Order: sequence, then structure tokens, then C-alpha cells
Amino acid sequence: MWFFILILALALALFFAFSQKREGLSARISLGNEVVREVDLSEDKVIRLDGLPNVLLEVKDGAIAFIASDCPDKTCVNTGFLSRAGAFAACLPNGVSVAVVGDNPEMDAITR
Amino acid sequence: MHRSAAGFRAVCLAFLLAIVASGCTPAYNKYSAEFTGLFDTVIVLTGYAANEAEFKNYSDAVFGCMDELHKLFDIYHEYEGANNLYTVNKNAGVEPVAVSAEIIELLNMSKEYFELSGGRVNIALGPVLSLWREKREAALASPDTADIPRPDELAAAYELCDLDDVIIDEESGTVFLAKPGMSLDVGAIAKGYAADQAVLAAKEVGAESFLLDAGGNICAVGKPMDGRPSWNVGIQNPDSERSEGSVIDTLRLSGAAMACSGDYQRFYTANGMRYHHIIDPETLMPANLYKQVAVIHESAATADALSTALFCLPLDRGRELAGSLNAKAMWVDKNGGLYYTDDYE
Repeated sequence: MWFFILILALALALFFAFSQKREGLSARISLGNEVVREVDLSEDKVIRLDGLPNVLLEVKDGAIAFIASDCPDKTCVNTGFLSRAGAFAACLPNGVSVAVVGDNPEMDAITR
Repeated sequence: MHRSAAGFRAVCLAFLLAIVASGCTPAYNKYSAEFTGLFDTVIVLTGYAANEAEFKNYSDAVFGCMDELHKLFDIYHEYEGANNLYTVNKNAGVEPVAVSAEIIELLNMSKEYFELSGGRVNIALGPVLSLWREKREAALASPDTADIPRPDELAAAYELCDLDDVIIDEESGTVFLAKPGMSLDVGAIAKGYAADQAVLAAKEVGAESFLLDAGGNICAVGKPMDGRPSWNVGIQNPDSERSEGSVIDTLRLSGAAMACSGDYQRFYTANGMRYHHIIDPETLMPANLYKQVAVIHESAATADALSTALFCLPLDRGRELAGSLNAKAMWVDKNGGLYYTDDYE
């Protein structure tokens, strides 16, 4: 009886361990501190934001990047494609930021 | 009776095992939020909370605190209701300005780091930094005519950069810049100081497991609630300009702060040469010893100030300074060579 329950317990434990959802990556686009879009990175597309006709983002091969912006310094475009959870890019003059979110057990943040 | 008690114990064990094996305490989730518009950077908060509303509480505390300090340390704008560094600069050579305790504390700390760093951290360098900022902004607007400040302009501006002429009166709570034309620029320490304060604000409302990144000033508080012993923070390779694909190092932090200074963070190009934003007070030119310096210390303000100081100092003097403050550091030189303090892991 004891033994049976212990086996059951182990089975249950293993079930819980492996049934954790493995979600794909997505990107959260914010204006100021308000999230305006959440996009799935598994689908290629070009994103334009309401009210910011001169800022363009692109999702490609599971990564996202600013590909155009009317800001003077182009720091956002120069950041390039983001493909890991924890990575982010921002266009400060336009107040837009992009953060990649998803399960990433190895990295909580990436800093420059 | 005896048997059912044993059964109950076994079921409890099963649940405990299930929780342990699933690798996290199910009552907590990981959340994150970004904030642009403060300190000319992005502030990212990542943390564990019971639910979204609780995390919102934490992020409101962090961003609220940083917003307040941003206004106090802002040198470009005035705000209603309180004097800030803009007000102090505007009254250079005119009169002492009554300021908040936070400004006095920041300025006192800055004076300490000036001494410790042999003058490499100088918040009175405003007139010199303004010349570089004007050139950088002009270069971004019209890259073809980009140039750098003339040596005689820089030397003249430096005449107004004596930290001894920043007169702090703690009794009356005032700051006075003794000569007209002087100006404070606290860019080398303000973000770190603000990050330390924001951590306290978040702890006050109950946050105990979070990671705050204020433009490269990172505070790792507590441990991640998924059972890991520390937070993993990647430092981006300064050479991978067009992608975050490569990470030069991964730090494991808990109850510690880290700051990065790099020549890739803010720069402009003139006559084919790159000029970045960290100006060495000794040469009045961008410091050119390293690509990147990362510093780990328990205080974010110290890490921030120290990362600027180490960026300007030769390696041996930098090592000495880091050691005297119990800080760990990593240097990346111009050729990509890596150097560490002895205790760096």
C-alpha cells in the first residue's frame, strides 16, 4: 500500500514537471509605459503603430526589430533583431519600446 | 486509523514532490514591464508576484520613485512645485537654491566619488559635456558637417568645472554654484542612485523577488521565486552592434547591483572617427582605453559611478580602486581582450 502510494506520488510529480507549458516567444510593444501590442514571433510580418506612421517593426524568423524610424539617432534600428526572451530595444524619441517575452530559464535580462 | 494517517501523509508527500519537481511555487508568476521617458533610457522591471495586480503595485512603486527623481535631477526642464538641478544651474553665480534632501545626498555622494576616483567622476563637468552634446546633436541632424569641440573651447569650458565651487550647505539645505556659467551634470551617477531608491520603494510595498534594469544599471533583489539561487543577467557583446545574438558574459546576481559603461551606448561620427559620450576629465576627450566596463557592487549608485571611473582609468589604477570599494569588475579593451578583478566569477 505504502509503496503503491509512493509510486503514485512520483508519477504525479513527474507529470507536473513535464506538463509545464512551453510557450513560444512573443514581443510586447509599449508606448510610454502602456502596452499597445503583443505579437507572436512565429509569424513573419511588418508592424506599423497607430499614430506613429514613420516607425516600422518587422517580425522575421522568430525575431523582431525596428527596421525604420524617423528619430535622429537610429539607436532603435541599430539594435537589430531581438530573438531571446529578456532582450529589448527602444526608440526613445518616439517613446516606443519592444521587449521579447517567453520562457527563458537561462536569462532574466540582457543588458548593454 | 493508523493506516489512513499514513495514507494522508503519503498524499501530502505527493503534493510536495509535485511542487518541488515542477520547479516553481505555483502561487507565483513571473511578470515584466517597461517604461520609456525617464533618465533618457528604458527602465525594465522583471519580477515574481502572486498576480498581475500585485506586480502592478510593485511597478507603480518603482516607476513612481524613478519619475520623482528624474524630475529632481533633470538639467533640461523645470517642474512646478520643486527646485531641481535645472534651477541650480540657472542660478549659477547668482544665489544658493533650496533643494530636496535627495539632491543634497546625491551631490555629497558625487563629491566622495570625485575624491576616490582621482577626479574621474566630476558632476561639475557640465560646461564641457554641453560642448560635446551640442556637437553630437548637430552631427545627428546633419552628419556631413559633423565635427568636434575645439581644444581652446574645451579648455575655456573646463575653467568652470571646479567641484570646489559647488557649495553645499546642509544646514540650510541649499546648493550654490559659485561662478556664472557653471553647470552640474549628474549623468554618471543619477541612474544608479535612482535605481537604489526605487528598489527601496518596491521593497516597501512588499516586493522581494525582482530585477530592475535602469538603462544598464541593474539591481537584482532576492532570488527568483522559481527556485533558482540567483538571477541570470546577460551582458551583450559590445561588438554585436546589429543583434542581441551574442552575450559576452552571464552574471548570476542576488542582492547585488551591476552597471555597464560602454563606447557603443551613445556616440556620433565625425570625419570617419567615432566619438562616444564618456568624457575623461583629464583629457576632455572621449576616454579611449576600453570598449566596455562592467562593475558589480551592492549599491547601484557605487556601481554606476565606478563604471565611469574605471572606464577612464588605466587598468592597474582601476583594479586598485575597485578593490578598495569591494567591487568586482570586468574590462573589455579595444581589441576585445578581457580583464577581471581577482574575485570576479
